[in-house]
Amino acid sequence: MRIFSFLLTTTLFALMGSFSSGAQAADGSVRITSIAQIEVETVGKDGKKTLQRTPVSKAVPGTEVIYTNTFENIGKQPAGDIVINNPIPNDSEYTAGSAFGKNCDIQFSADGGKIFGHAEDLKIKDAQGKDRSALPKEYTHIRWTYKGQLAAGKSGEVGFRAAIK
Amino acid sequence: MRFPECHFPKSRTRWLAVWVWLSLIVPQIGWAAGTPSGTTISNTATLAYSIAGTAQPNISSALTFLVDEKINLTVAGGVTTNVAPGSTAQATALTVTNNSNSPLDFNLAVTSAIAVGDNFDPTACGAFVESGTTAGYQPLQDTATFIDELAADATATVYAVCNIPGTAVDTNTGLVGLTATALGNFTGANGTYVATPGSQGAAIVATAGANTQGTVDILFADVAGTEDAARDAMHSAHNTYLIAIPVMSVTKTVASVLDPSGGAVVMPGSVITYQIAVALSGGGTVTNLVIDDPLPANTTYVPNSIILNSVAKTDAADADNAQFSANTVSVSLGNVAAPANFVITFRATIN
Repeated sequence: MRIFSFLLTTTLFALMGSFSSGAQAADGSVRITSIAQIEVETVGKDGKKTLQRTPVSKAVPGTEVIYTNTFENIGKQPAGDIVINNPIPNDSEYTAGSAFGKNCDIQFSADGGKIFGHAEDLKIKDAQGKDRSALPKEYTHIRWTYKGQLAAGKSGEVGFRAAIK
Repeated sequence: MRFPECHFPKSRTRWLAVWVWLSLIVPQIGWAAGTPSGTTISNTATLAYSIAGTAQPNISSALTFLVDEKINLTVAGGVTTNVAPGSTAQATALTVTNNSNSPLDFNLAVTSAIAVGDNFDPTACGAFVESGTTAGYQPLQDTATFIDELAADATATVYAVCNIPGTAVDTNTGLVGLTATALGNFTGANGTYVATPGSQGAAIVATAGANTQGTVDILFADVAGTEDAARDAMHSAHNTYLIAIPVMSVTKTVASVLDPSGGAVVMPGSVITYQIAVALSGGGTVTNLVIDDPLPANTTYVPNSIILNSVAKTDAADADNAQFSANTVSVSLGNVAAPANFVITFRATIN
């Protein structure tokens, strides 16, 4: 039943079975799954336009892809110190302000994951070796630090958008 | 697109497998042609955690998909080329740019019977690709009739070459349209592009319906041109032939007279400075323009006195474009595009 409710919350990626599960740790732990989606505009019977998410298709340059990582405590004990690290995919450019994750501290890196900082104070060195603010399109990594413990049976979602260059 | 590990627990998803095709939103952000189609984009998230204060092994989740093919091209024209009535093989240049994310071939077609917006229809038109050997249309070099393997982001110059009807009159215009159609074989691994050097690829068909996993899908992203619709793997534009007939005036005046005593009396021994003003107005080009002026009777030419636009010329039939022979001053101006002005001066002594 837990899986079924999980299904409901992630109906769209279930559409095409595009669900791509990674390595899963043994029981008594946490698992993480990732999906890639795009937003499409649909016109309802009343002529009203709405945005819906579907699995990635027609992924041509310029397409903005929404990456969502879902993590779930499938064990019996609460999990703590949860940190999710996601490099920006290759040939992609992070969309400014798109990172999301409830109850998470979100930090970025623009130097391949060496230094992380909040968007407003992340710096990189310019050609002259001087510090300057990193631009969102220069981000190489995103890191979510989950605040507190994730109780058994609970799940969370973090993600971001990146356009195909 | 490819999702390598597509096992979803149980079969409860089947009821969801009704695919509704949805119109796509493809924001065009500013990377020129972009990532080549067939490129694998992969995303990996790694999660670290602890249980009861004890760090656990990291877990991770990865997904991949393929970049699809965006077919887009631009034909740019809007150029006006001056021509004369009845002239043949008149070239006018347009450009074709490959805005797709793979190399492509481009078929070329010329439209001359354009009903609206001009006065005459050019005839016997063809399209030829600039070879890059010599700038401008060279009939013996620029012989390719399609664009072969144009790289992503690259631009080719194409000449529409037409005959101009002899019935056209000054200031008449004739439109000529160039339509380029993207061609290519997407028969490689995962539906990637396969080059066909020296020959045109196959007609391209946009992928219909649902996304094809593990294969490069094809999306048309071109806009409508003058002769074609949007999203048809074609684009087109017009150039204009303008009938431009140059008008020439030649005026000869006596600029000055110098008599032997230093005055300005016309008498034997006086030196007369003649000035010939040549003015070309309107448009178009005059070819092989030569100004000949036989000396008046009872005068003797002052040797080496020819001056063209303030530059002194010699009398010999040599590299400079002026000479004096058979008692005639002769200046060759060659091919001259209107508007243009020349001033020729020379001196003669009254016998």
